[in-house]
Amino acid sequence: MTQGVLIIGGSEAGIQSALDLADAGVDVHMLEPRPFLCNIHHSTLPVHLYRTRMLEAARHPRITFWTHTDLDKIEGQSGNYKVKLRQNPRYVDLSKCTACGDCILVCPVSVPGTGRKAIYLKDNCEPGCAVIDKSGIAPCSHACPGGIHVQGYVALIADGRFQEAIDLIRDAIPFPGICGRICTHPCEIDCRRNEVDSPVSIRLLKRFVSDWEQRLPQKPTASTSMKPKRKAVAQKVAVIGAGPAGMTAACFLAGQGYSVTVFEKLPVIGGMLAVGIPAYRLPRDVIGQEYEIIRKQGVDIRLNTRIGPQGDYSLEDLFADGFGAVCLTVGAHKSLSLGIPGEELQGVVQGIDLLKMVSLSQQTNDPVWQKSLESLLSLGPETRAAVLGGGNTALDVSRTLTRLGLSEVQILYRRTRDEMPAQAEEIEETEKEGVRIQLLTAPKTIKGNQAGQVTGLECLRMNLGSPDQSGRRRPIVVPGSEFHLDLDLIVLAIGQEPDFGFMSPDSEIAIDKDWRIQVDKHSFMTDRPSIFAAGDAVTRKHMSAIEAIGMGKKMAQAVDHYLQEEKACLEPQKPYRMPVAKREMAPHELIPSASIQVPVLNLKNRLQGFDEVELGYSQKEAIEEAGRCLKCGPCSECMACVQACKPGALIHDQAERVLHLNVDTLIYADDPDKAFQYREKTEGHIIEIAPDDPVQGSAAAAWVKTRPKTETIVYGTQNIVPGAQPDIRIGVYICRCGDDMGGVIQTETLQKRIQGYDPVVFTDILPFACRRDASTKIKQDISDQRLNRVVLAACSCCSSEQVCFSCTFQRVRCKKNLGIFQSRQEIISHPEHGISLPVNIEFINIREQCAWVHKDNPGLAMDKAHILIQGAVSKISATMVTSLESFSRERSVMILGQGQASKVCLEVLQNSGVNTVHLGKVLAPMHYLDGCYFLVQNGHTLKSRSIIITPADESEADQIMDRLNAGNSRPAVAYRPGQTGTTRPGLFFCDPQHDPELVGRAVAARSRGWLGQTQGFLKKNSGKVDPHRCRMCYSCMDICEAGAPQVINQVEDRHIWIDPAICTGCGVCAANCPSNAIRAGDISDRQLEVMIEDMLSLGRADRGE
Amino acid sequence: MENKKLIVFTCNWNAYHGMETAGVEGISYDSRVIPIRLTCMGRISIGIILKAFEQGAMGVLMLGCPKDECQYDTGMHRAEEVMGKTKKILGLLGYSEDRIGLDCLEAGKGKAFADRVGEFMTRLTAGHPASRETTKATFARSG
Repeated sequence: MTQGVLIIGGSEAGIQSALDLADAGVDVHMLEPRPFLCNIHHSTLPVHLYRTRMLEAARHPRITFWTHTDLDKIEGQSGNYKVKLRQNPRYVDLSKCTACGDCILVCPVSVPGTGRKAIYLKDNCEPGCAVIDKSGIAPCSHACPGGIHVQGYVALIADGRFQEAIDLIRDAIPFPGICGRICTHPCEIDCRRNEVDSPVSIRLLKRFVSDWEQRLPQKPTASTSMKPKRKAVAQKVAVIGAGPAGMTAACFLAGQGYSVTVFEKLPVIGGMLAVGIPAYRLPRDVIGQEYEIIRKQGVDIRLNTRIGPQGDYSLEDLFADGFGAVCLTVGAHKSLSLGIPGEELQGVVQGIDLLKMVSLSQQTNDPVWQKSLESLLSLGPETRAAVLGGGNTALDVSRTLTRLGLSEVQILYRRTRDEMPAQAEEIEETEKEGVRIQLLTAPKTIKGNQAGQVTGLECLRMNLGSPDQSGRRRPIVVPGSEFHLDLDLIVLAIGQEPDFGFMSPDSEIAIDKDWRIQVDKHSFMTDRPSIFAAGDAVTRKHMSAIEAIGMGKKMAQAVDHYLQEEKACLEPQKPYRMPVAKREMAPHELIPSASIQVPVLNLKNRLQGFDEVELGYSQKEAIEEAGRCLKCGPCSECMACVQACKPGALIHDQAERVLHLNVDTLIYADDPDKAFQYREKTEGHIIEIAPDDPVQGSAAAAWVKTRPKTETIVYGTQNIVPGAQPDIRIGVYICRCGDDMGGVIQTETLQKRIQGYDPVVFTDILPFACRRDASTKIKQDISDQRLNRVVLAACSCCSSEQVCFSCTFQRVRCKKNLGIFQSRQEIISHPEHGISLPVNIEFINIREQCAWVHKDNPGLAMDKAHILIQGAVSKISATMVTSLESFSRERSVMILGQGQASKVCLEVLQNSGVNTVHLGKVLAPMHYLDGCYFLVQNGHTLKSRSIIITPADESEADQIMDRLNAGNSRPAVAYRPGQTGTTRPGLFFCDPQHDPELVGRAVAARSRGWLGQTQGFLKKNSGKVDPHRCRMCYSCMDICEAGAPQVINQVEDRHIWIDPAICTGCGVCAANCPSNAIRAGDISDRQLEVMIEDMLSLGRADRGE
Repeated sequence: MENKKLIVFTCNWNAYHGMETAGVEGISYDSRVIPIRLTCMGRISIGIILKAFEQGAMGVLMLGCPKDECQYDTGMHRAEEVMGKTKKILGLLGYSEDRIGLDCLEAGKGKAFADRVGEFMTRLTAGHPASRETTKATFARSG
């Protein structure tokens, strides 16, 4: 047994087909690749009618919508298909979104070429919920090791929202100012603007907002925007090394409530940031400001404190002191040696040692650093220096030396410029400052004099050969190319590695082949439990500040997880990785526009000291540069929508969902030009129909067999007041719609006013009536408080199961949650689908009818809301006591007439197990009794619930109609030329002018659907006659257009009964009944009476009459 | 007259949607309007309208579907019949004809709803129809 039918395309025809099938008892899956079902197929239906049809399908318990879903594969054959569907993430929860549009207002991204934002709604399309246009994570965000939502803050800056931008950055990392200056920007490397001209200067944008924040009168107090999750926790964590990795970890752990102590052996904070990067690139006060915030969060930083067997404490001491975990973030401060003769001579120094001397002499009062520096630069400004290496350290050293006054500084590098690991812009600046770079030059021997002082360097010229294991081309010595350089100072800057002096030989912490601490790549835990490591100490390939920060954060999360799980084994966490966005861009988006050059200090001023060289963007420049972003997402993940969404409907990390369905029929009702895409997926047959022709839709439904069923129908349960509970217990709920209906209605005050009435025993306020938690609460309250009536004051307007023009997706959802669209029997067997207790629910609209039209007058709006609720309370208190009616209804149809369509109808209906009779000629008048049509012809009594008229021509049509109207059924039925329906529900017509195949199938499907429909829903609007009041005056029978009132002719009891299968619910009979015996159109005369009385008297009370 | 209410009956289909649209578009109208929704304007009867006046309503406005668009075919015709009869009775009771109205409202026309209400209010309050009403009207109002 399959799961039903798959219909592709939410067109008018598709929906018609779906409804005909669902009413007949078939499960239908509607597939729509777009995020919305919209009327793009030029159906002639006006907009509000199309929307109403869509909602009718949306509310049907047998129809499931799969929007934003693609059909990947079709396997199997007709009658038994296996389809593979892939539901693309919408990123919005369809069970929570209220379509308020707040998210759209705050979205900073306007998607080029669409005229809308990255998050959007579509008017008059269903589902009426927002959707985010996001094909994946932007390449810049994907590249950031720190996990910053890069496109997000760029978009916010472009929109002038600097505070939100800096908050977004701080959500991920605590060092925006530092990274804004020295980051190696993997984001810019992956920026898709590289394909057009040059990348967006993301690093400078980050610097801009950081500087902007620092200039605010109110300084930032939290280093990250992440709200601390816990209060203080008992555990202590030790961090070794106050560099970027360690401090990021400390910051996050402090935010989680841990007591963190950072041990730093140097006299300054910052690690490599402070002693490896010169001040002209990263001013010390920037480091100081960002570290101070962390210190203020309660992190204890102990400078001049060394860990290790020769230090102040050993690792074992730390554990003995009660630290629950230790983080080794010691960085890589030990330099690699060249291994050439002469390295031990005086005047040969390691680059990072030199930089440290300079930094510490600038930052501390300790004279030892200045002295060491002076002894190195033995000839003062005349010192001739060569720096060996091609990375940032080599450049930093050279530029530092020029600032110290040296005029002859050169860099020797053994490969070419392209292979230099340093950043291109740094290389440029270095050359501008007068440093000469000698490429393809390698050192051979360092020469010295008798005193052990360096005098020069013997070098070799190199050529490039084939690539080595790092992927770079190997330098090969050019034979006989030796040459000599006279030098006083040689600085080695070829690489760093960690100093493992803090570990005792038996520490059991493993070192890997790259000479780094071995850690698990997800949890950063070493072989020794409760010892973790991150940063330069664990990696050789990814040695940068932002990598260290990213690792520090992940390590902190692992430490937290580890400590909370009471030292349980740490499972490596594999978070869901979204694909990288590869949005297709239109030509007009790819017009080159040069990146804005950042102003820099002029050369003369630069070299006079260590003032910051880069001056940063102005506000105007920043906004313009941020505007160059190509919006790859296009959603930037700035999370502004998440902040703005009151019902909490955003799911930014939603993954796509793959599912398999087993269906027996495929119907295609979408754009005919695209049908081939589906045809080529299967050898089986797909029924194709024109999207704007509902008759074809019904005809397609006729191809599907439905199962025969005889069901007991239970009518009128919505009006039940069971005899066992004579007292009226009403619960009133007021919906806030998130913000008290736009702040107009003070829900608490309103609630107090309602609490005064006698039959109201319970009141409550709901944040969102259309969200699942509301219906769960209501159901619980009905049970707990023994409620038998509920008034819900929200935006929903009527309590019937019908869908009218004013319905919205959210109102249908609210009613669905309460089970309004299910029959009572279905809910009894599936209690999670609705309320199975007999409860009468009234909905009233205090939003469109009250709050939104009286915005300027909240006091009057409140009074009116009170009056409307009172009206509902009065109405619901006056419901009629009535009993449950149940009938056994069989599916039976009579086909009358000799037209060709009769054969088609007969075949379809018989295949579906419907009792069908075909009468070529109608010789006797037809009567209607007990819900069925019958006639006696040739001695046989023939009976059926539904009739299909299939005349061969117009004269036969009229003849059959005469027979129908000759009997007792009143009023006269008429057919409508060109249409399948007549003036009476349940009577169908096959126009002889139309193709008998098409119209025959369509009518058979619609008749079958009608038979099922009258079994399925409870019709709240349909008429109910109070037998005790009925005087059999026949006024209702005379006046009813559809012919619903029937005579019930029992021995003790003669009265009118209104057939719910035919009744349309208009209420005209009720208006004309002289005995006020009919409740119809959802309301009885008595109910109207009390409503008007109570509402108007309340209105007078408001005026103090 | 300042705080007396105006009862507006709308049918469930076109007319209600017009009123709903006024809400969606945030178009303000007089807050003295008390809306009561019926399935079809054919549901209205003389007694209901008189009840409203008995209980002190200032006026009764009925809005239904446009001509030939009645969801139930003939509802509006019934409403017109009722309207004719009710006017006569109201006249007998001493009420001005201006106090009740029957009109159509298309779906989706929010401004039209506000306009109908506004026009009706103007007719009600301008020219003080109360002054033209006879004292016979007072007995009906003492509810």
